[in-house]
Amino acid sequence: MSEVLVITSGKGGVGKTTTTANLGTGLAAQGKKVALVDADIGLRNLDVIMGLEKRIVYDLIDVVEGNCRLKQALIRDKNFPNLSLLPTAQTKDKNAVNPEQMRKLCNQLREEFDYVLIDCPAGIEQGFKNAIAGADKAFVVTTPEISAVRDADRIIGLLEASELPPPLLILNRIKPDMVKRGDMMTLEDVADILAIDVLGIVPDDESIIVSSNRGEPCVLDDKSLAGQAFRDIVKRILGETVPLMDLFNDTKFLARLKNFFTRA
Amino acid sequence: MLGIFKKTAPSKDVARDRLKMILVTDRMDGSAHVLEMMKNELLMVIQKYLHIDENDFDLQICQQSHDGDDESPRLRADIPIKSVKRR
Repeated sequence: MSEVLVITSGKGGVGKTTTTANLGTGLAAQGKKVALVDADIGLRNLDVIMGLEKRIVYDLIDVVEGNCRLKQALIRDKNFPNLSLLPTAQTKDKNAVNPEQMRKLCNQLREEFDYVLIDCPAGIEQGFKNAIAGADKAFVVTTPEISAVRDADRIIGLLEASELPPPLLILNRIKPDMVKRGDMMTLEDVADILAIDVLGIVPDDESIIVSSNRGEPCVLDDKSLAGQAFRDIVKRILGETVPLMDLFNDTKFLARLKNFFTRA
Repeated sequence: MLGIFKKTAPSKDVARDRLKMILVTDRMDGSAHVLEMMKNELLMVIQKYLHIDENDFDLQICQQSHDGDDESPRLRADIPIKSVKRR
């Protein structure tokens, strides 16, 4: 039984694409057949984060318009043969596709893959409606910033108005030091205000930038804290019960550090 | 004078309280219109028991409690009573 998951946020720049890349790669590392769909027409990025930008021939619009077969447009990942990317078009606009076409595309992908992850564009307009059209479940990514949480609330309202089940929250870019000082809203604050269940938390981590520089999702990096957070979320998607990462326990951090140095 | 010793609220509490207020109006989707509708319906109920002047009826969403402690958004009605109907 395959599942179509859409990764949304409302506000741009909070980590949707990074989350999509990492969760997809993480699911593939667990042996699942995964397709990533970049639904951000005109602002293509998922291919870059995945390090697959040089291999694009056809895109989502080509598939929808029948210029090529779905299989021709899917790009196989460099690490996992069971992971594929359907890139979006860079030069067309979001009105080039409609929700019915997206539903059809998702159903086609279901036949071949266990998980289909859709990277939703920012905003609440046509691109958003297209991205959620064929999805079974939605995740909402936000950072603990007032503007990002406000936009997340708007998206949650729109998701609830569609026929999707209640979305789950991924709180990204938590800075434990700022939380300790009382200068950053906590997970409890955000989850309480948005009134939704939590799928995972991801700490602010430099390894995210390093991994996007290299085009290799940090979920594959054993030493990355954000990578660990994404691995935890992957397990939860697969139905395991994994406690939320403890970002405030210094001794654990020191243990990691020590572990890192003894290994090196 | 005491103000000097009063600790300023952590900025995350300020963010949280502002956000709560913003989301009340966001979620109401045109809060002025919703308030007006609520006001009209409330008037009908209250006028069964009290004589009030609808022009004096003030209904608003605010965030300041009387003791200044709880900063949750609240609905505040201010309705001067002209007279009470005898039962």
